[in-house]
Amino acid sequence: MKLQQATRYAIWAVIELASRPDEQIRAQELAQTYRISQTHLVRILHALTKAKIVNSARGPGGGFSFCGDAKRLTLYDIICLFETGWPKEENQDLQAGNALTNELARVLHEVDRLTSATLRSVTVRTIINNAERSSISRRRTATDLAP
Amino acid sequence: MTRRAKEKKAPAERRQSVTLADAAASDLSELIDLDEKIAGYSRADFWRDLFRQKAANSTLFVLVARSSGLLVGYALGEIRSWPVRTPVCGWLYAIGVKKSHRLQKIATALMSELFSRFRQNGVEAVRTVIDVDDHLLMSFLRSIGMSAGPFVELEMAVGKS
Repeated sequence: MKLQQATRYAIWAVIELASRPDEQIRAQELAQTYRISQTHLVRILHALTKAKIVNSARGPGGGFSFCGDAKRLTLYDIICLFETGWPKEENQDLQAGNALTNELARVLHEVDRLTSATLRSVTVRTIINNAERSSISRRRTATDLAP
Repeated sequence: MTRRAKEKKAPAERRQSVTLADAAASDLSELIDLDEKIAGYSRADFWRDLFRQKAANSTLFVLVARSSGLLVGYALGEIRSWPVRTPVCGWLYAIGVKKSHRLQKIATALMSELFSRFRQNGVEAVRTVIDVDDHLLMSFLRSIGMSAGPFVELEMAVGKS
């Protein structure tokens, strides 16, 4: 699935901030972590602040922090903020046409339905928890393989 | 307490004492009622048939969760082969928790118990098929670590005879 750069940056930023709930993180640090443009990232963080997903604090010790509900906020919610044409209207592709275009539209709708269902079911907390699980599992495997 | 700790602590504080057990014949009518409330339609015949099979099938698991004597949740699973090239695996057929008892980790406990039964029987993977529009259930299953497997369900109408 191809997402716009801004959408990918927004997802990374939200997940990073949500995984460090008691920290104020500077845009500079986030930009360095993901090797992305700080100017671009700041614009994205402001959009996330406006959407009440992220808080910003000025001054020394200031930065950005996650203020949403990680157990409720899904990838779909974040994508809808940044991708044009989202959320997709039901049967948006089903236009009056011949049998061939209708069949093609049906297939594209099938893909959209699965994509939407997947994105709606993955919360920020799920991403963080699954990443922790994989990391624990990798560490166990490394320990088991150690001589 | 950190926000993450609060997130985890909140449901536990509200949790009442819940016991998990294999379903007994005496649980059937309560289970049918609860399933109907959750699903929105009755599957009484399905459950009755299942309880008949259960006596002769040691790899079919029906677990129930009780709180203050009331049946508040269930999980149904089976270890079985599948007619595609895949090892025998555990199948999750149904999971449900009474609305008033949700967010208390009862479904997680039921799944954990079911997976433990699967493991005890040498099974290493669990699969399930769910409604693509049931975002709540899909979200729960993903939250416990499940993700898309290598199979896709396809269907077509064959018409009436």
